Amino acid sequence: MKKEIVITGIGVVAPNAIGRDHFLRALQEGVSGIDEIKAFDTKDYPVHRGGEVKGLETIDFGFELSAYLGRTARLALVAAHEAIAEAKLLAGSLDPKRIGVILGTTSGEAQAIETVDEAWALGKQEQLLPDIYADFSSNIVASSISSIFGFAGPTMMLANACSSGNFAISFGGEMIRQGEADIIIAGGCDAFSKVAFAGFGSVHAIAPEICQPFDRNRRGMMVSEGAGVVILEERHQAERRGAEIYATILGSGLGCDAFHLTAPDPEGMANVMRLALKDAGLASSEVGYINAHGTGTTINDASETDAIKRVFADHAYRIPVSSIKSMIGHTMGAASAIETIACCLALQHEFLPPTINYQEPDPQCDLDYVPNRARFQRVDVIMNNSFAFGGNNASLILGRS
Amino acid sequence: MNPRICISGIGVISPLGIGCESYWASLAAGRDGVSQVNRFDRSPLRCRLGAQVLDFDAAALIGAKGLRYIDRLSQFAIAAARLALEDAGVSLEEIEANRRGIVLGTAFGGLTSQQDFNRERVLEGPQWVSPMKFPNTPINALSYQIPIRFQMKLVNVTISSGMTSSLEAMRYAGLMLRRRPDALLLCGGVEELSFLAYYGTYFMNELAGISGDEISCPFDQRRNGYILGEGGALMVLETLQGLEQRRGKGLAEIRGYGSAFAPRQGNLAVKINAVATAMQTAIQNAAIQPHQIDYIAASANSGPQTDLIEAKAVAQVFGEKASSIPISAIKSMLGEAFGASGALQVAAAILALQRGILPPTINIETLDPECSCINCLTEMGRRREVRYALVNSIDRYGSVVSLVLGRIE
Repeated sequence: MKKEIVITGIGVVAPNAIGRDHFLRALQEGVSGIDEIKAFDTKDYPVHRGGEVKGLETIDFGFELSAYLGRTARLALVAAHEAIAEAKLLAGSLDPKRIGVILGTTSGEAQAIETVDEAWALGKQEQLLPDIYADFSSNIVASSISSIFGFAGPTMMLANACSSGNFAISFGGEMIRQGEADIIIAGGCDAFSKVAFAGFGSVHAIAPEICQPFDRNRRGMMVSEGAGVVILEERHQAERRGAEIYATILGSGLGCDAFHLTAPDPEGMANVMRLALKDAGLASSEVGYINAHGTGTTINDASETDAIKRVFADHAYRIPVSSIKSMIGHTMGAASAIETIACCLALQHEFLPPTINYQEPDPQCDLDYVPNRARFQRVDVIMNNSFAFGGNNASLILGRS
Repeated sequence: MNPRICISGIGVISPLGIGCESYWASLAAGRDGVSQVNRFDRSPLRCRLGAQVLDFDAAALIGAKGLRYIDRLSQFAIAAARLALEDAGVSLEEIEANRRGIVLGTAFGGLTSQQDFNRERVLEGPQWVSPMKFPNTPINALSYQIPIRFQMKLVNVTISSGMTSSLEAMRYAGLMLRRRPDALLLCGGVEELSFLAYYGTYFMNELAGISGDEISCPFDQRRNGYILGEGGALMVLETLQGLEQRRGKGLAEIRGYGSAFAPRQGNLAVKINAVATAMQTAIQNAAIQPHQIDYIAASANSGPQTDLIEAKAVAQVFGEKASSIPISAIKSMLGEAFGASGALQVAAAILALQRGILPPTINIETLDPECSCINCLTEMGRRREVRYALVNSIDRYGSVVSLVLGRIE
């Protein structure tokens, strides 16, 4: 009998909200977190908007943070702190040796690396604080969490670009199933990256104003930052210790296109959706909502729509599909983790988050994208898609608690 | 009953040679892989040394096509993948693409590519960055080409967890194989000696009051910080069942894993306990007794504190036996290659197990009396039947992973 993995805590930091309750409201009200970028001057960049997390500096943890913690670690810590508190992991009955941390990231402490690179490029390296070099190895992020909360289980970072969060959650579940840990703090995190901002900008993949997934006139993605953390454990343990259960992880599907570095492959996308259904032992008709990867680029959204049709056939037209990237942009390594949290909230609070900024239907994207307004309806099974550079795809299937 | 996880092929790119044979010949002979760094301008630095891969001919190993846009780190990875698949004698026709995958470890990823990209962004302007170079910037960019070249569709995962990256990658692969006993996975770690990792290491060492630029002499009284290294080792992992089905020849079996964590700020006893816990758990999971371990491939990298911690932890786990189980630190020859280190140690341990000869720890003049509780091997060509070997990786931020390898019996 396969052990059932459940989610017993969530923590989220997104451009449109910090914390579970605020995030829930933002999703229900379709609040955008996209704005003019404030952290640096964007005048030399082709676009000027993105999703920054506001007010991170003012958060009070109730404990002192080490001065050299980078922004990615801070984002992750805020999310982890919330999830850990909510799941009551520090209450005492759990063995810290059996609590591990597995976080995904695209670029680790990207801002530290960018700061160093900029200084060296301009010959100003003498002005750098030496501590900044400690951030080159991304595992400082997961290690900080274990250190601060006193966990002594497996502590690691996984780097699978934009599908990192789903990979980390799926791996975390497997670690518990195979007895490597009792609790895994899993998720994803990335700070706003100028490399991503310049890189996606250089291929005209960033929208100038708003992110409009699946819309006929969509003009691209939005570069964003954030963190999402979930607490994973086996159902019986969760019930024994009286933890609140948000959702059950019914299945996961992982795969690699082996096709192209950056171009999506609809068949590769369809493949992981099918694998996830198979792993969950569900028929495609049992899925009630799809939380799309939906970046807002012409090619991604068309490919994903195509892939959904390949898997769900006629049923595709009856399943609501939406992209919360319309509200928060693409938070890179955090994206699928934050989306998993959106799915947990959708299951618990019986609503579907909207695809905002949706104006004109695209003949190529002809599914129900939950346009502009959240839909209040009960859903039992959700598929959460994530696709990344290198053709690394991961779909999760989540069910009600 | 869990399927048994076997290693059936090894591909090595290292300062001690390319490919298993030259790697092993150098290891067994105790050749020092450390030399003057000449790959980049190190004039702003006082440090000079590094363990570099010097005779890497990318075009010869992976073909000249498209090399311009494949960074050196990715070239290491592709080359190691090719060598590992060849060593395992796998013909890709016999295993469908959706049963083949890769799990890589790297700590720094494409730091060099990121630096190039950022230099362009700052000096030329963000509008003028190269779209062709952008895909080299995520940490896991080194893994992108391998599935395309070798048609691997099962999974492509990168673990970026400092010095424990490659052993964590092997744990991931092991768990995956238990779920998918028909799979074949390429697994290991790859790291490049980049200018900024090099500079950063030196800077951090200065902070810690150590030089790290003299000699790599693990467990020695004179040790004073690690010398940075590079390279990679990828291995072919499959279940015994899969191996038998394709009539392949296995080299070793992964018997068990263990891990632990102790905060960097923690006291010595806590850190020693964590390393001991990782080793004990791995031995327990291997279903053997500590005294059955015949060889330990140490994590020791010439760090003043970490080597001591490992020695004391070995003493704690093995008791009186600690002074008789041979242990060697190949980082004395290879330096600290972060995400590649664990895989290079695993490769060395498998070769030792295969050939009945143990690699030495070089550069030892006077063993630190505090480390005298262990049997640090310094002589060349020590013969020993190895049935079980223990491999350790200890990261500077607190993670510890141990792995037990055994003969396939």
